[in-house]
Amino acid sequence: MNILLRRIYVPVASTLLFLVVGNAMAFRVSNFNALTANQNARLAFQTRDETKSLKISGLSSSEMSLASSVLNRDKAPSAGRPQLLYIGNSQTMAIMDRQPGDLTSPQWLQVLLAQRAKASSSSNFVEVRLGSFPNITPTETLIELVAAHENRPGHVDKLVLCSVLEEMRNVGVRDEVEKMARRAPVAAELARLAKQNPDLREAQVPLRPYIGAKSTSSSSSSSAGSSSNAAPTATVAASGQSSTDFTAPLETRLQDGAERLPIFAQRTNLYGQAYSLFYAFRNRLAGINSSSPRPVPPGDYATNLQLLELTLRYARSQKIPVTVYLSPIRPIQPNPNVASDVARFRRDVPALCKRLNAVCLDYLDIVPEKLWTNYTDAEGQGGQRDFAHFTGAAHKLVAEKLITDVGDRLGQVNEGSR
Amino acid sequence: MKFQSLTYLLFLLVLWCVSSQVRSIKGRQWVLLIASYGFYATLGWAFLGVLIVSSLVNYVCGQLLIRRNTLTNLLMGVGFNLLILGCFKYLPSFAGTTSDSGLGHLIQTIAFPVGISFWTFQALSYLFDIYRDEELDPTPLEFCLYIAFWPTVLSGPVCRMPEMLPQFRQLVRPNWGDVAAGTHRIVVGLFMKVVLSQLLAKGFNEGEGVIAGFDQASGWSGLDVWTLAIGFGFQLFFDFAGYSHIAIGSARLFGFRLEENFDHPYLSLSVSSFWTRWHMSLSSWIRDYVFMPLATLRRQIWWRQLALVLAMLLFGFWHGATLPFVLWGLYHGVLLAGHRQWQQWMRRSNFSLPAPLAKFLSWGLTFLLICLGWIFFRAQDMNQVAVMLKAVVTLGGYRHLALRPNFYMMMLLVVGGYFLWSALEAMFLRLEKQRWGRAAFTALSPIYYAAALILIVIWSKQQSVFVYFQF
Repeated sequence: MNILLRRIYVPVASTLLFLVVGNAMAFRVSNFNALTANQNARLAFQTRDETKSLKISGLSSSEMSLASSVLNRDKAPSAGRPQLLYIGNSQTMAIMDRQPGDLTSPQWLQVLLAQRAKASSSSNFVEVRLGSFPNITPTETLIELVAAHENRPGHVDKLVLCSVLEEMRNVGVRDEVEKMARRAPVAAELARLAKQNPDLREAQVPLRPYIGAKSTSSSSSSSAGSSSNAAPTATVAASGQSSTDFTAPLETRLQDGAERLPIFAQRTNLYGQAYSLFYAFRNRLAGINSSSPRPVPPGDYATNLQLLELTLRYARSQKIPVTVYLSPIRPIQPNPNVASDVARFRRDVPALCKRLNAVCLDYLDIVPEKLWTNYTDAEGQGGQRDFAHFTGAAHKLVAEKLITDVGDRLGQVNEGSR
Repeated sequence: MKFQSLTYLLFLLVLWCVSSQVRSIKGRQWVLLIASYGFYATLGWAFLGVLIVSSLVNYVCGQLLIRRNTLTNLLMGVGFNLLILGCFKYLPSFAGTTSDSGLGHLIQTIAFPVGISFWTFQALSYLFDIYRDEELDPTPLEFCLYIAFWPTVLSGPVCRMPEMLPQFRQLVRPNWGDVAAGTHRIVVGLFMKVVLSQLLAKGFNEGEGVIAGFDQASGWSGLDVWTLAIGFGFQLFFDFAGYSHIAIGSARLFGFRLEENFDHPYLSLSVSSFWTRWHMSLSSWIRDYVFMPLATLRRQIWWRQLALVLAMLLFGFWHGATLPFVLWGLYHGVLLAGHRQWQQWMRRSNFSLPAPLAKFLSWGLTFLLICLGWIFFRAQDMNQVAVMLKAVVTLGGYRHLALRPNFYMMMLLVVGGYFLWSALEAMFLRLEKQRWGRAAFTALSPIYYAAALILIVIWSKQQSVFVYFQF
């Protein structure tokens, strides 16, 4: 009896504990939002449905509908209307202290372009399409542009790129964008770009997992790991694994079945929560707050500048006019953006754009302090300053500045387009 | 089908239920072989074809050797195995670097059967053992099962026929101890592979792991390089050792005992000791079938040292036909030869340090030398190797940090946690010998298992990269 109890105890107790504790944790994080978990609670990411239901004085219902459609990444282009892809980070997607009637910069740009067309008695205007991601890296920017253009050719006639100094610190690619990169036409185009631009060596490094150049990818994800030195045909084998694995549908069904358990269903949120806890621990340990300097490592900067150049070269080769603007920085000190990094960024990006026939607008200082906000003490972040996002009025300011500076270029509808 | 998939767990469960109902030895062998072929087929039917053809040809070569044990027959078998290994593994790599012709491109598209290096070496060990007059008489069924045995077919441990054949010939009824031990190993393996290895590889967020660190183009400081080297060493360890735990645990569920593959390698006090604790099944294969035959050709000490270096060169080449891998093997060969010389010098001299200090220094130097070698293993190309090594040896290269603070923190947590756990493990093992200790551990073990499973489930959304899959 003793032996039987001992044999049953461990597996049964382990299973029960796993289910009880795991599911309890899952219930706790069911409202976790990865986009806003580490953000100010007053930050709101704009959604299509929310925009649709807005009523903004001075805007017609068709203009509101246009503003809403900007956020529809999969919308089919309207006949005869050039497509403008607007890529940036969460600063182009989210609004601080959102008020009724607030729109994001891409949405305002769409409305203003439509109004300009209407003012010149034209029914044809440029359609704005959002290609932004929170914390988008230059690698992801390139992939997003290539994917938008290659997957559905002609879906990018113009590009507005919000170039963010803070994102020059990152080189990673999230799973969602990685899937884009692995689609055949996109991967082929990235490989062609890499081959035709051998001088941009650093830019090719983050792209290696997708272009199969002297690297291999395992059956899964973005990294070559040590596989970079192994036989390149492992890529074929690796990719062959997933396509010939006849148990893949079964795995999908099992995973779907497992997601009936809360702990499986909330895996992503649980991971996000663990990540947030790690950040909180790190910040407490190292005394890091939102104003702490965050220098851009030279290696990352060099790689990302080359990735930006590769993006511009691609756009030029596809005859896509590009407008780059340097993303606004909060004009106070102390500031996470180190002065020397700002100066370098301010010098390098315009010079790059000039070489590659792209327009570059310096918007680093255009958003005044009053249009930024602080975390309140009530949120447990002790009055820290939010350097990443601004209010609805600032979004409108950015869009209006774009219209003022390059409205003709952005709003131009060429003959024969579509 | 990956080891870390729900399908694999279902596969184990179904196979376990079916095989435990089989009452005959031959029947059980058939069940296991069909299951193994089914498992391998999920990677590609063509690959399965290569595996089956290789198994049958090697069996025939073995039979020829049994009938006429001659060097010619041995060389025929060895030649066949080296030929298929060369064609699938090394030829496409050479074609990629040397040829830009249509044929070169065609050769590069040759698919690479997963695990070919492992099961080819198993076949070779069988032929070598017969040549050495080992009494081995597997049936075709037993031989095919030995080669295709699903826990080991993808990435080892590299098994030997004398160990496996008796087990295949027993109708072992897995007892409760086997199931408990096997399950424990699988849980531990999944935790190491899915959680720890991935955490190091990718960090908590994209751009914060070892992978991103190595994929930065330039700008590493000396400290960055050391941290990356240590990080990769542990990523590889958790990944491969985790895989080995799952393989050994899976086999144990069915009553099979496989050779251990890792034994706390980063606690080694010398490079020689490291190679008795890291990828043990392959390092013992190299020792038994390459180093020992080479070393016994001549008596001179210099020849034995050279044999060591040559054996490690082959070890490096086994991993990949590129200069960094070969240099990695050479590096370890030189370290091993150097360590032997040092041991001889120590014996002759009267120099000694207090034991705890000597132990700490030995461990520290071994750890740093091993980790430095991982740069060759992981770097994208020789250019990166050169840049990283330059950062290490340049004093001025320690003045800045190029990698994220998060990366350093995570490394500290994971690597520090590993050494802390290793220290606690030794204490737990001593306590477990006491009766009350055993009872306490049994009572508390559900907490350990539940926590591990919760973390495995959470991290399972991150896609796993198994670094050794390509060898």
